Amino acid sequence: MNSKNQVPEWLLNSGEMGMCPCGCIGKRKKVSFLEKTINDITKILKEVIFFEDIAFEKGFLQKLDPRIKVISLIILISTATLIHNVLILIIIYLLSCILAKISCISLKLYFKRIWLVVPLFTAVTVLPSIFNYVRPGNSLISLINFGHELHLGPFTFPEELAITKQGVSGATLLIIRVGIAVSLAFLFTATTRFNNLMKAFRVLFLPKIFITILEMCYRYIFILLNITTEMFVARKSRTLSKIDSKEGRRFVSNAMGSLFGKSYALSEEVYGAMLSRGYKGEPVIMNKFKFILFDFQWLLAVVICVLAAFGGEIILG
Amino acid sequence: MDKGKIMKLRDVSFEYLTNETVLRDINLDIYSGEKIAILGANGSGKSSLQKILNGLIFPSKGEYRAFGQLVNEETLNDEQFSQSFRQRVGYIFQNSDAQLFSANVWEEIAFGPLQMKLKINEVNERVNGIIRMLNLESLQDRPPYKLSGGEKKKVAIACVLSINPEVLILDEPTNGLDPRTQRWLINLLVELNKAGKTLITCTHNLDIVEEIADRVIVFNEEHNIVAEGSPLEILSNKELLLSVNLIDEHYHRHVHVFDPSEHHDHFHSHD
Repeated sequence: MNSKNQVPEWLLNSGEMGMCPCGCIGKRKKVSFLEKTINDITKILKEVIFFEDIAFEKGFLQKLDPRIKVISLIILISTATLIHNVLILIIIYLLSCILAKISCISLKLYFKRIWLVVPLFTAVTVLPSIFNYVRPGNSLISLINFGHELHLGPFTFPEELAITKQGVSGATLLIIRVGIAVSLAFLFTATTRFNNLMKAFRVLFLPKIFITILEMCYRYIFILLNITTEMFVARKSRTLSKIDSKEGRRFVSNAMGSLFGKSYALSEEVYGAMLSRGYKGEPVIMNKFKFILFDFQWLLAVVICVLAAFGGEIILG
Repeated sequence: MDKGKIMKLRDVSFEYLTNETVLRDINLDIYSGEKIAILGANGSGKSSLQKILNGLIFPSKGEYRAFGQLVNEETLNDEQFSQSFRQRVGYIFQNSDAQLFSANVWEEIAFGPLQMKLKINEVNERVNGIIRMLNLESLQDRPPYKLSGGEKKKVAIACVLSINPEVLILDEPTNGLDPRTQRWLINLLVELNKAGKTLITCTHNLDIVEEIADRVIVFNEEHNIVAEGSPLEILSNKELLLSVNLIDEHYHRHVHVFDPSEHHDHFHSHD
């Protein structure tokens, strides 16, 4: 058998299409969606690995038992949402900044992650409540004075549209509370490895099967992201001219279907591998967590802080 | 060495979809402590046979007995039988990514012993023993995505060995491994066999067959077993290997024979 006989003629000729003979480099193209997707996936992977690396650092919070972290996180978040005094809330936030610093999280990252996003979304949600039409109160800034009461269908509104003092203080309090709660959650999750965090959720009586599934999801996201990158890179390597949007949509939907097929096949194989190693439908999981003196000292410190915060609230009013 | 029959397949056929036969009338006996290699072209049914032997899929026709017991969906529902069967038969998948589903290497190796409901200190002892044996200390906290292909294979083997199975089923174990890791793996398999483990290996890598097998079975593309014999008999039968589309007419062998007495043989033969 001579394989050369079966190779079509055109495949044996090289240089059918290549660089322009005059040496020009042609028109610059905008980065295509293929490239963007590949870059985005790489960014996600980098970010996840970056956070795993924080959890691996030898910082203060990293030393704590994950179960203690989950418990103290719940205590601290509920305290932050129950306290009304802005000063005390700010002190709690400053303490969390110190914790971030000694847990190898850069303060820049700590601010950027939370305060760029949280106020934006919370502000949109609480925006209506600062006006006297939604929440009546003492006028702080008068916006429009209609001179008479407004009747809109069955509703009657006061003659003046104003921003109220109660509205603004309520909105500020809410934004600060949400910011602190999200900061604390970020602080504790970034310093705990994902699988340890999942196992620690057992203290909240989360079923084992749920934890196992979440852990496996996290593990296989990497593989599926790699498969996706490969599909996009393979498409990119065969892209000679600009892909029009119809072709682009077709490729993405094919890629989605193919990824689903692949993940289904993989899931079957994984299940086989689990069965083969004695899995019987009820996973037996084990954690190597151990409470040490440091965990109790931390928990005690948390309780003292919480009591101090509520004490301060009573004193300051 | 005990030469008792541990696995017996009688007239076993298997099809995923009706009229798409993957295995046809397979009769095969496997003896305790032997090394057996399954050869065949892609799609000839080798992997399906291994899955049947591991009780992951069940014959559409015929019967499969392991350790004297019938293996089918019903018998594997019996907790006691299932536990003893799973403990005695380990399967190393071709795709290590499918096999490594835990969050880190330590937990991966502990998965099997934990499912066997061993005591915590026993699990610890087994896992740490295997980690020492395969030099995995530096990898034990790593998640699977931070492992290279060779490391993944090592961990996949470690997590099956921690169950201490009598029979090891390996699907294309040397695929995608660099030559040095391949050599390490083959030496490990030979050692394990010397320690009494039965090895059932599927491979396309004909150069390693002599080392990992003392009996070879060959599948043809019609999903039948067409030949059975010693590695030398099978590998020197070029006509047979050509007829099952495993080799082309220019095939030649490279053999790397390792002998602990430091006597090495390398040969390269053309017909």
